[in-house]
Amino acid sequence: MNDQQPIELLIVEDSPQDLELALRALRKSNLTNAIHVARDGAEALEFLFCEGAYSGRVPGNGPKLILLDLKLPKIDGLEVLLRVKNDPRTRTIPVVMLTSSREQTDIVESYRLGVNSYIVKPVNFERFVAAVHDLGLYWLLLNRPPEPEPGKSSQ
Amino acid sequence: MAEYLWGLGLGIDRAFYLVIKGGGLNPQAGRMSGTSAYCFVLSGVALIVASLPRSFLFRVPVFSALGITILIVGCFNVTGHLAENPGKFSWWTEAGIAMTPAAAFTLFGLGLLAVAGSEGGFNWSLSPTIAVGFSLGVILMLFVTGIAFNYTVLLRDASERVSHTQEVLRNVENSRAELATLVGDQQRFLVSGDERLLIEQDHFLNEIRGSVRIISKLTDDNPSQRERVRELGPLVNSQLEFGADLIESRRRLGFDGLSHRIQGGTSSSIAERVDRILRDIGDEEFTLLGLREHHSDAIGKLTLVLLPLGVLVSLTILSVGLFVLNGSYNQWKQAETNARKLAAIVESSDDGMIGKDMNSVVTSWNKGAEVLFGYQADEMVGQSIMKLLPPDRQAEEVQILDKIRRGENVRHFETVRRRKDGTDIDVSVTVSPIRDPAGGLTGASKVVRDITERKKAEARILELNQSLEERVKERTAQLVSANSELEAFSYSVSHDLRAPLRAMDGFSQAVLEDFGEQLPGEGKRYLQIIRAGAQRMGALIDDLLTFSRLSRAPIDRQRLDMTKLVKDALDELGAKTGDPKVRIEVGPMPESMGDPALMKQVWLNLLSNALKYSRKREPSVIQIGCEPRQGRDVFFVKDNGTGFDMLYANKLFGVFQRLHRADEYEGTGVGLAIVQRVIHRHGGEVWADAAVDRGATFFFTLGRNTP
Repeated sequence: MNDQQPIELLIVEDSPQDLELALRALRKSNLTNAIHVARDGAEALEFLFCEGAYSGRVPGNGPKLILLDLKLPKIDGLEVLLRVKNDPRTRTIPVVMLTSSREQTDIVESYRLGVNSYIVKPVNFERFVAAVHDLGLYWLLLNRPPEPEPGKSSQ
Repeated sequence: MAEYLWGLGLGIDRAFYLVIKGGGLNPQAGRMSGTSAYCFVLSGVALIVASLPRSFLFRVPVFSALGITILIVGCFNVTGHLAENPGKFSWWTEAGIAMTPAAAFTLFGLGLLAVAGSEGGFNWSLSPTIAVGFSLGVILMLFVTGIAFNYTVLLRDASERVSHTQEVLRNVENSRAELATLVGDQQRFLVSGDERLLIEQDHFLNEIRGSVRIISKLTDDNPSQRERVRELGPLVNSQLEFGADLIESRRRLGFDGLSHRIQGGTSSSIAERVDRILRDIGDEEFTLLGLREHHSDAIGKLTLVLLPLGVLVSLTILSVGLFVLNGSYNQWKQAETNARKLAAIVESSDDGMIGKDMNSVVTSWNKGAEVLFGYQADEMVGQSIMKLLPPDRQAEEVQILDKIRRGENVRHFETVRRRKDGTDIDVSVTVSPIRDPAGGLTGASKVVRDITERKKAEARILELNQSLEERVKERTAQLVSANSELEAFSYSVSHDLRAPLRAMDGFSQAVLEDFGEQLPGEGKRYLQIIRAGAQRMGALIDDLLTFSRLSRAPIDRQRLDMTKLVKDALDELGAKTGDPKVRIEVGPMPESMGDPALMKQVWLNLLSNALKYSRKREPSVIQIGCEPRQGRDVFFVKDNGTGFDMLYANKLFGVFQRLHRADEYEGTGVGLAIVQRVIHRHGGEVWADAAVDRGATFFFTLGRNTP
C-alpha cells in the first residue's frame, strides 16, 4: 500500500471475519478505493497521527471517514475516538461507530466524545450490507466536511 | 341535788324557783324535780368528761353510759306526760320532769350517744336515712316501753289504792263494831255491876286505838278524811275517858249513884258522833273505792290496748329495720363477693399490685409484688415505698405523687426498682389515684410489671438490627460487585457472542452469492437453515439483553398517560385502526405513575402478543382498558385469539417459556418475562386468564398511586 496515496476510509476492526464481511459489503456498494485497515486501536492512532510505522505518511491525506469498532486490542475504540476528537488535526474527520454493542452506556459515551454516528452491526448480512451501503453513501459522497486549514493541518 | 340526797334544807333551789313556780300542790312544790336535778347532774358530768383529753381511758364508755341513761330518763318522762302520769316514774324521788325539759333531755341523750359513737371510732357506714330511721325507731321503742311502764305503774297504783280503801273500810267497820261492843259492855256493867263484863275492856280499847291510828295513816292523803280523823281522835278519847269515868263512879257509888250522869246522856251522844264520823269515813272511802275501781279498770283496759300496740309498733320497727338491714347486708355481701373476686384477681396477678397512701406508705402488697421484689406483704405494708427506689431515682416518687395529686395517671413509666436482695430490675409502672366515694384522694394504686425480659429482648433486637445492617451492607457490596460482573458479562455477550453469528450468516450468504450456481438446491437450503439459526440466536441474544437491561435500569417514576402510551405502542406495532381485520377498542384509562420507557415496553409486549395470537381471527378483536378492583386500578389487554390452557399459566412469565410451537407463532419467550419483571419492579402484579381458543386476557396493576 502506498503511503502517499490519499486514503478515503479507515476501518479499525480486529475480527478478520467481520473485516472481510465489511469489505465485502463495501465492495457491493462499489466503495473499494483507498481503504486502509487497522487491526487495533494503537495501529489506528499511529496511522492517523503519522507515527511509528506510519511516520512516512503525509498528514492531511485523509482519511475522509473512520469506521471504528468499540472493542479493540491494545487501545479500545472509545480511547481512539477521544484522541481523534481532541486533536485539531483529526477533529473534523467523521467517525462512525460500527460495533456489536447495543449497550446504552457505550452509545451515550460515544456521543459524549463526539462520535458522528453509531451503528450496531446486524447479524443478518443483508441488513449489514444495507447499513454499510447507506453509511458509505452518506458520509463519503453526500456529507461535505470543512476544508482543512493549511497552517494547522500541516503540523 | 344535795338537798335530796342528804335531806338538807339549804333552800338554794327554792330561792330560785319559788319566784317562777309560785308554789304548787305537791310536797316538793316550788322545788326543782328530783329527776330534773338528776338529769342536770348527769349532763354536767357528761360535759366535764367531754372536756377531758381524748386519751382518757374511760371517756367513751362514761359518755355512752351517761347518754343512754339521760336518753332513757328523758323518754320515760315524756311518756309519763303522755300517760298523764307525771312524776310517777322515778327511782328515788317523787317528782318527774316537765314535758319540755324531758324532751330536751331525750335529744341531749341522743346527742351524747352520737358524740360517744364518733369518739369511740364507730364509723357509721349506713345511709343517713337508715341513721334517722334507726334513731326514730329507738326513740319510738323507748316511748312505747315508757308508756307501757307508766301505765303498769298507774295500774299498780290503782290496785294499791283499791286495797287501801278496802283496808280503811275494814278498819272502820272493826272500829265501829268494837266501839259498839265496848259501849254495850260498859252499859251492862253500869246496870249489873258485874265486873266480869269489864275483863275485855282494855283489849277493845287497844283495838279501837289501833284501828283509828291505821285509818289516820291510810287516809292521810285525803284532806277531808284527814279532817274527819283529826276530829275522831279526841272524840274517841273523850268517849273512852267518859266510859272509864262512869265505870269508876259505878264502882264507887253503885248503880244509883250513876243515874244523874246517865241522864246527862253524854256517853251515848259521843259514841253516836264517833260512830257517825266512822260511818262518814267509811262512806267516803266507799265512794272512793267505786271511783278507784273504775279508774283501775280503765287503766287496765288502756294497758291491755297499749301493751300489744307497743309490741306491734316495736315489731313493725324491728321488721322494717330487719328488711332494710337485710337489703343493706345483701348489697354488702354482693360488694364483699365482688371485692373478694377482685382481691383474688389482684392476688393471682403476675404483676405487682401495690396500694399506697399519699405519704408513700404501702397499704397493700400482692403475691406478684412479693415475687417481683422479694419482700413479703407483712414486710412492706406500713413501710415507705421509697425502699424500692434506687438512691439515684428517689426523686421519681415525688414526681409521681405530684401527678397523682393533679388527678393524672402515670402510664407505663419505664424505670428501675431495687429488690430486697439489692439487685435492680427493669419495670414498667402504672400509677392511678384511688378516691373515696366522696371523690377525695386517699392514695394510689400501683401496677408494676417486670420488663427485664422485654428489655433484654429489645437489646437483642437492637443488636440483631445492627448486625443485620452490617450484613445488608456486606450483601449490598456483594450485589454491587455481582451487578458490575453481570454488566461486564452482558457486555461481552452483546459484543462477542454476536460476532460468530454474523460470520455464520454473512459467509453463508457469501457462499450463496458467489457459488450459488454450483450448489445443488439442497445445499442452498442447508445454508439458508444455517442463516436462520444464526439469526434466531441473534434475536435470542437481543431479547435476553433487553430483559437484562430492563431488570437493572433504575425506574424513573412519573405521571403516565396510559392512553397515549397504548396509542404509541400500537403505532409502533403497525396496527392500523382502519384495518377491517383488526378491531382495537381502547377504553378510558386513569393516569398512573410509572417509568414511561419501561411501561411502553410492557404495552408493546402485551399488544404484540395479542395481535400475534389473534391474527387468525376474522376480525381479531383486542380490548384495552382499566377497571377498579379492590381499590386498585387493574389494566387489561383482552384478545379473542387462540388463548392457552390455564394448566400452564404458571409457565407463562418464565424466561424462554413458550406455550406455542415456534412454527405456529414466532417468538423468543422473553416478552412476558419482561412484562412481569417491569410490573414487579413497579410494585404491581400481573396475571392472565385464558382458555384454549377463547382468547386470553392479561391483567396488571401498578404499585399504589403515590407519586
